[in-house]
Amino acid sequence: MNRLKLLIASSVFVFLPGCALWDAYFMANYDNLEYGLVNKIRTLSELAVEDCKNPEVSRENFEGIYFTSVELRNFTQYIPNNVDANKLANNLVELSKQGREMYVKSNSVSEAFCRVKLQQIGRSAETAQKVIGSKPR
Amino acid sequence: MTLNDIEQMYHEYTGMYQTGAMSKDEYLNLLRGLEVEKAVSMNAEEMQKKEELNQMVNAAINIVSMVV
Repeated sequence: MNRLKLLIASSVFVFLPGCALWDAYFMANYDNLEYGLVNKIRTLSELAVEDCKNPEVSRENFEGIYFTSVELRNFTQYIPNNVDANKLANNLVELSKQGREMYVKSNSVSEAFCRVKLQQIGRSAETAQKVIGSKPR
Repeated sequence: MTLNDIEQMYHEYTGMYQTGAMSKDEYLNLLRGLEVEKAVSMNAEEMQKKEELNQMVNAAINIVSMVV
């Protein structure tokens, strides 16, 4: 009860709307596995660039990145007050799905596409990693 | 990701497409990817603001706790 009073007092103190304050105060804490999965997506994307000359290996790489993205999305989905991490995971699923689809549709995916799509996934995973790593302890 | 970043990448991808380094399908796929990247930036920004707010609230609670 004391803690609730303090929360109300602090909300008056910082002049913030109740919902924003509630969302922020009760946001899900840092999770090692969540961070590990987003780090894995980023790392796989970085290393897979080296294989872009080989479409068969690249196809497998995109499958792996897609699998890990779906794993992250599913992991984040039912953790209470974790909607922001889940949104980011959904974005990573969408990006990796785009890359995977190109290999499903065509047997002659260009090296340029492979490289740029992996860069898109890697940049996005790094952006997500920064905020997922900064979640409250 | 800023609008300048998106513009720069758009030009980069368009250049690759025009020189024949990639197909039309691949080019369109990458442009759709840019839209997703923009969404990632916005979602990350929102989450970062909540994290900063969380720190502020906890700091305020600690200060009030010391006083009360």
